[in-house]
Amino acid sequence: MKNPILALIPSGYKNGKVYSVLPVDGDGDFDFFRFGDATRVKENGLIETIVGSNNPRLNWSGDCPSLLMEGASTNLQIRSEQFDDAAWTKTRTTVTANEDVSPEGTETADKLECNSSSVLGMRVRGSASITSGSTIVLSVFAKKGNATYCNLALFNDATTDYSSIFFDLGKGTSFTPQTTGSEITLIDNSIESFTNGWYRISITCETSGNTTVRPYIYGTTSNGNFTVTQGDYNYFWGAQLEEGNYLSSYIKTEGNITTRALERRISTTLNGQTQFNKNQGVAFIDVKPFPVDASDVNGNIISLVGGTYNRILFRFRTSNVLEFYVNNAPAPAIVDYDLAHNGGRIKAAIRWNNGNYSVFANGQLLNSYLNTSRFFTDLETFQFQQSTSLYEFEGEVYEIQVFDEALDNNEILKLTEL
Amino acid sequence: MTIGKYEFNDKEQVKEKIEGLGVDYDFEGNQYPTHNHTIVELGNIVLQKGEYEIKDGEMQMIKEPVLSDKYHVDVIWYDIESHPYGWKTYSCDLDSEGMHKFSGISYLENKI
Repeated sequence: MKNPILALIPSGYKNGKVYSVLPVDGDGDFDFFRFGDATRVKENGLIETIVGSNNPRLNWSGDCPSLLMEGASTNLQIRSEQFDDAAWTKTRTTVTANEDVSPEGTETADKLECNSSSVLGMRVRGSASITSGSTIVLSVFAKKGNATYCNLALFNDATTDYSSIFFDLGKGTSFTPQTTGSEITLIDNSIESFTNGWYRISITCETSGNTTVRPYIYGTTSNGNFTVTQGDYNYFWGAQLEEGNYLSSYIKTEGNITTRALERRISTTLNGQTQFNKNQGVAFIDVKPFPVDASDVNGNIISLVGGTYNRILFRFRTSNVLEFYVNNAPAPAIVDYDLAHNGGRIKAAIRWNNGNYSVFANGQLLNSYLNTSRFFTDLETFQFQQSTSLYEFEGEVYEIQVFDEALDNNEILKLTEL
Repeated sequence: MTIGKYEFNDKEQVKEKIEGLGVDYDFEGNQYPTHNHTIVELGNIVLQKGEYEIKDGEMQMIKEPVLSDKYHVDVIWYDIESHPYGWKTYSCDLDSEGMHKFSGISYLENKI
């Protein structure tokens, strides 16, 4: 199989640039833009703050790094690492600050210990202002102490309606989800393992009629209820409450709510090279897209474009739909194919070859099209957006390749195998 | 890069001001910004927190929170050193970071 003309396997970067593997002369390096700091997971599993604007993040969520691209998000819960602060109301709970090594490798994790036995539980409670009707993701890093379980809950302002779920910090599982009332509805939860016994636990809730919500973090020794005994304890660090429909990378707060800015304008034009082959080629992506909000009708896009109308799009839409879209004019699309996928990592490709088009995903040929009357006039830019600052891709990028010849079916099927 | 904090009359006014920073339309007619500024709409922020207490196991509000009647917006301005036309009137000049900040970027050190 011929080498691609452009290959991005995230492995190196400098300020404002993500290096491509091919071409080797740097002409295919991607521009990168973000204001301010953001966090990533390092190869050793610890969380690290990437300091300074325009520094890309190589994130280790598995065996190899990915280029992490996220939308803007604001941690609406202040004092995210300071449960001893007055921002957190304690009930039957004594907080000992900086008692354990945190997921970032510093001794900043707090011990939350029960100071009075009760069937009503030990807890800390925060508070945050939200946009009425927004979807909220609440998360915190938790580690087992002598107590095995904890519970994460989101209450409405009046504390009458709530959603909650228990987590087993020994097994890394969640159980007994509960929603009471109609204003806070549980729609998802997750528990993700980190180093040194830490888990990042989260709940995603739809809200209605509230501009204030109250995150609750409970420790408990019992399986499925809130019963605690004096002396029970767990460790916690890094609480985050954000609007949006996916759990984003950790954003530290102190006395202010804090925004991590959007990553955008990530593109390459093969500077100094000829354009991508407009007559035949293959665009291949290996990515894990983040969920797209139902209100975002245009989705998040990876594209190969040129001129005014030429575009080959991988458009990630709401409800885990990947739309393959090819067009070269203000007219009905040449290719428009929707694939419902499972929301996880996906390998997909689009092939164009003198009027023949095919779309592939996860080792399967999905569909083919013939249109010999319309051809691209230019294909000059590969980018993680549709146009400049429009519908930026949000997710993890493992690999990108663009070929300047039409590979055969077997080559693309092998390339897109998961 | 500079940072500005603003108090507008309402969300509609903010929408007009943001569109005034520059927009264009793609081939499908979708509007998109043509600027590199980062804008966070904070809305009607809480000026004074409410106070609550638990009586008979129930949370009860004993003092209502005080919300601003202005619509608050924080902006990281890209490559401009003064407020864009029509924004200065609504700018705030704080002597602290305020209730919101951008990760790793100080408002006080980068105030427009």
